[in-house]
Amino acid sequence: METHQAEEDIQRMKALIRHLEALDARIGQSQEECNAMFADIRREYNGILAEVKLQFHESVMAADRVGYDLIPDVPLEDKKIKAAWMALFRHPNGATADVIAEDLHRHRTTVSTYLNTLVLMQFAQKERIGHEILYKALLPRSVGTE
Amino acid sequence: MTGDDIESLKKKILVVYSAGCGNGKSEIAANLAFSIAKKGIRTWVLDANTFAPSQDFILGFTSPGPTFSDFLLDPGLNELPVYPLDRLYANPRPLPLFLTPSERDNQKIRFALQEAQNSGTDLYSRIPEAVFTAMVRHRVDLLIIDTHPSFEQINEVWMGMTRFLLLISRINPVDFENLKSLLQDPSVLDIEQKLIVFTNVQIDRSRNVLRDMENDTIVEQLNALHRQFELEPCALSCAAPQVHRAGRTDIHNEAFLYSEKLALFQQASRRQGMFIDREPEDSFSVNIGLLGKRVVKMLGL
Repeated sequence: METHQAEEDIQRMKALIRHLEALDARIGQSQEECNAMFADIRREYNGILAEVKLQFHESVMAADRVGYDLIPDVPLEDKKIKAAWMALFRHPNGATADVIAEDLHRHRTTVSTYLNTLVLMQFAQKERIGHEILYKALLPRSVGTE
Repeated sequence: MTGDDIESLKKKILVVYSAGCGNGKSEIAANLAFSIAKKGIRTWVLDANTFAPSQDFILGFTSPGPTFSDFLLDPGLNELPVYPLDRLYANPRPLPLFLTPSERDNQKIRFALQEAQNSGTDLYSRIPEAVFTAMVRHRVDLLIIDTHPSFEQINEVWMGMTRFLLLISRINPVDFENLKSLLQDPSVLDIEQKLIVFTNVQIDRSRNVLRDMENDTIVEQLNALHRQFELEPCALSCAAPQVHRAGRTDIHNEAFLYSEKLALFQQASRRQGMFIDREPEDSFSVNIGLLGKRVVKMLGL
């Protein structure tokens, strides 16, 4: 009677072990499938990321050439004053009137007038460093930076 | 002052400019200011021609104190001197006209200014703040700046401050070529509204104004210019988006007929009042009135 019971237990254990082996095989297979799927997702992700990075770079280059799309839109009505602010914004450490005049292809005195007007409008600040006057663009609080 | 305040003040500045001398720019500026002030519009004339000023003479004013020249040379002068002319022109009612003259009699000051400009001394960085502050203090509705074409550096300041340029040109081929060059200048291109006014003034070798052309001759010359299609394509190309983002160049339809009466009036050593007031029926006065109406409309005054 005891022998019969032991035989049954052994058979049950063998069955469980087979079941576990089958489950292990299924886990392995699923893992392989998931790895393949993850690899596919990773490839797709990398492809999109590369494209976004490329487009971002191209946009930056385009903004450098013709426009200022990536620069915050400030509420300046006069286009020439706005262009001066945008040119100044590209110099986070500040710039002299000569530098901005070169960027805008305008006479230094004209640009100096634009920059002094921006200072009055509180869209820029100026500080004297030695013989040079350095202007820095100020971003009004109401303007978003994204 | 906020950014909006300054944007609004810039729209009230009219710069009278030309490519050459002796075309009646100052006479037009003074008479235009007088004509507009008569409508009750508070008008300030700034004589920026520091080497050969004329607004004090034309408006019959003797400066009791500092001038624009003094302001430029003395960094201690923080405010622009602005003189009301309401007592000078009190009848029938005080005229809301203001003047900032330049130094006429002191040759030393005139030469010192020229020397400072030539040596690259910074004379002009205080101008925008001083002008805007004075406009607010005197509640100016319109500032008319009379310039001198040879002072290119200070003119760049005015170009940087205005959105409205009044260009004066004589009706002759040389001035025409100069005008075309001027219209291609980047600082001029940047200005949103430009109005070209033609005069028929002719000067002799002693810079005396000659008698005016006959009306038939003017009409013939203007028609010839239109036939040449030289100015119009130029003006149009200046207004085209690829050349100028927002600019607009108009031509005033009425040529200024410089009358013999005006020439004689200009040459008189003592003027009695303003020409347009004395001779309201004269062709020059009539055209100034028309121009005044157009300026008031364009600036939305």
